[in-house]
Amino acid sequence: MRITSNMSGDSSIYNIQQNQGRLYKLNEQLGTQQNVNRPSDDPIAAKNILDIYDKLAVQNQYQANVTKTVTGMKIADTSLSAISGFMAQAVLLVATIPDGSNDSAFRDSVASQLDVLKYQITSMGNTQIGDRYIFGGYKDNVLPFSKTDLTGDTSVGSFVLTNIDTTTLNDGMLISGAGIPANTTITVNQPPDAIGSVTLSNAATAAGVASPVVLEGFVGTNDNINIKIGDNTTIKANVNGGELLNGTGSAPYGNTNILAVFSQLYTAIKDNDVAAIKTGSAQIDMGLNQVRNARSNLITRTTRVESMSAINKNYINTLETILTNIQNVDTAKIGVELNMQQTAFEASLSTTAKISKLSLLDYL
Amino acid sequence: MGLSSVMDIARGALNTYRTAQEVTGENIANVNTPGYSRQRVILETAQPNGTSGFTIGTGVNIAKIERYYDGMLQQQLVNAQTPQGYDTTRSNVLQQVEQAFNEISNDGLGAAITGYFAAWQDLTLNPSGPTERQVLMSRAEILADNFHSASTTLSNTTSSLNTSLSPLTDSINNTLKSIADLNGQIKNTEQLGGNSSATRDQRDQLIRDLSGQIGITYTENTDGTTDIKYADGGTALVTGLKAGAFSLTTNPGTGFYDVNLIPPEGAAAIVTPTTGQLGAVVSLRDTVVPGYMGKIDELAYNIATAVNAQHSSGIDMNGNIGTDFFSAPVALAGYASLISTNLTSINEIAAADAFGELGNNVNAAAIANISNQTFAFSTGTTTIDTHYANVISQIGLEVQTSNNTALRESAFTKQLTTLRESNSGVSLDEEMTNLVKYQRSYQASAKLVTTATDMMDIVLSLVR
Repeated sequence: MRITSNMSGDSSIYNIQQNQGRLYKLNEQLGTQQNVNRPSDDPIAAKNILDIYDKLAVQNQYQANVTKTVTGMKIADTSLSAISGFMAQAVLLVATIPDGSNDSAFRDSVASQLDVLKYQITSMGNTQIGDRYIFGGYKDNVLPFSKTDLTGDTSVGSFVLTNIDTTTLNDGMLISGAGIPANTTITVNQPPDAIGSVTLSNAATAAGVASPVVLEGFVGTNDNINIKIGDNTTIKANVNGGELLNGTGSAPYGNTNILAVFSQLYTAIKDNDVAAIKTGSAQIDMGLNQVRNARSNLITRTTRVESMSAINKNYINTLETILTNIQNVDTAKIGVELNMQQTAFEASLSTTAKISKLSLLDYL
Repeated sequence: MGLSSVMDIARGALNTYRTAQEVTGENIANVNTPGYSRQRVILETAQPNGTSGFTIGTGVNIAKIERYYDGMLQQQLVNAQTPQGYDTTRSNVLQQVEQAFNEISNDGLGAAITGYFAAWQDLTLNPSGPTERQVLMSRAEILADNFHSASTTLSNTTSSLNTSLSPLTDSINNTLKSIADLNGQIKNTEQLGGNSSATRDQRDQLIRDLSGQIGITYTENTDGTTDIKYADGGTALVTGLKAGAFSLTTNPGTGFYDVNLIPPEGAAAIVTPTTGQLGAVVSLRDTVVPGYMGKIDELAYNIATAVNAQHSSGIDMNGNIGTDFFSAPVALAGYASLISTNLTSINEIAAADAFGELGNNVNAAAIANISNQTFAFSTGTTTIDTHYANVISQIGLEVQTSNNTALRESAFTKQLTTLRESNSGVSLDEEMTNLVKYQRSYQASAKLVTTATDMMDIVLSLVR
């Protein structure tokens, strides 16, 4: 083959370009520490990388869900622990007066202690995270258990029912007692999610004898707040207040209306009604069990969430390992390749320089 | 025969070697001229003279000055230029498009989609939380922005491809005209018996340039002219001394240019280029880039339709039935550029599925779950994320393929160019040798003159 000076020139340019291209590629990989820097570098790997990124994002979201869920569950557990403590105290308290007593001062003292305990249980039932009531079900923005004073409300003047709406009033809101005094004004504070209006004229005229208006109702809902913590795993993150303290809903823990039992016991002790005290005493034992059941159920779920979190973490680790294998540069390997490529590049530069110098012109 | 004929031989040789030196000079001067074919002097003995009883030569003659030229190589070079022009253009444009979808850095449209559905997940944990709702709104806006940006990049690409047709057809038209002009020059020169090597080289180079821009076939006529036909349809582009031209008319339907071809003789007609740079530009503009656009539209359309349907079955914080979350898509085509959030306040986000329950997360969970649902996408029935990953992978594959093809074709062209160089290229070493060779011959011929002159002097001195 006849070789001309332009041929070697063109060849040199072409080869230097090729070498430089390879050097650039290796440099880019070293710089970014990534094997695939754009989809066309390796379309199949690019698709896998994107898939893994998506899966990682989803798993990390589940982990975030887990963290928040566990926080909520821990706070609920603290409340349940406190409620169960108050219940145990109530059991002991009632045990001091199993057969009634003729000492009305003693009965009053027991009754007022019961009242305090009920008040505390109600307070715990109104535990909040941020501005959400954790035992309120789907109605987490309204006070689920109205704090009522068993002794106080003689309903002179006005009595304010707060944070209720028509649905709750018809559905589950208990207004117990002997009646509402005539001329009682019932003001309904419009809840933030005001739907429709509340007409209480009938309730107001149903008044008969003046006696305390006792509110023991639960205005939340018994709905499960389900949170997704895995691809196919959702978990109930809340404890339903109604099921816990009223024994309503599907009554999974027991069907004791704890708040009503307190009211009945209060009245029974005040009236020294021994039969009612005995009934109440048995019921408050059942109530304690109900709270304990709810607590153990919550703890089981917390354990499940935490084990799911471990599984998720494991999965995230696996995904990250795969990603590392596909995407992360083996620095040693690339370093060696870079060295080899550099040698090749220098060789092509050097030969080009030497060949270009060779000319017959120098010898004529 | 006499001494004068020796002088004649010497004079002829001097002339010949001066011409040979000129040709060598021409070769050296054009060592770097693209498309130049080296020329050589073909020497022959002059007509012998038999008058003295012996047949004695009368010196040297230049039979012809010919160029080293391989028609077969030229044909192959022309054939190789067309796919190379096509794939190089395609590769360049696709690489720009690819940059717009560079998801490997993980902060593009794909990340925006994931982020949007993650925000719905967050909302399930606190359905009435203003922070969660605000985050969801901004995620939705980021998603819409990403769709707009992808759509804008693609539509900018199509419109700049469309604009690039104008300079491209201008350049093709100039080349066609130049070829026709050169045809005229070559025809005239050769009719007068002149040497048209340089003009032919120029024309060959132009034909090679042209074949990168459009697919052509060419035939050389006996009068030295070359006729060129368009490979897409066989319409004549150059006939003898007349050149055709491409023109552009705006299609009222698409708003893009239609390519018209006006043959040397005849009326303009709309053509669909499929080869060379012109073919690549038209196919990228009409098929490839709109194809990607369609896939992005499809993605936006399906997300918006599914989210809207679910959102409309929920209840918002104002106690109303949910509205469309995104602007309702009228049509699939072009939706990626139109998608926007339809809600005016964060209270309109419908996380609940019942009235009056601010802690109800059922609808939020259902919308978050849309990311796990499959849709009948053109890439198959897959989830949103998988469809997007498929689109990215497809773009990557097409860029890779066109890069590899362009690379292979440029290697092939390089090989052909090397072969052409080997045959027709100027070797300076060779020319140097020729230079010395012809110089020596010239010196020897001059010596012949002086020798003959000496002999003539001797003869004349006899007469004195």
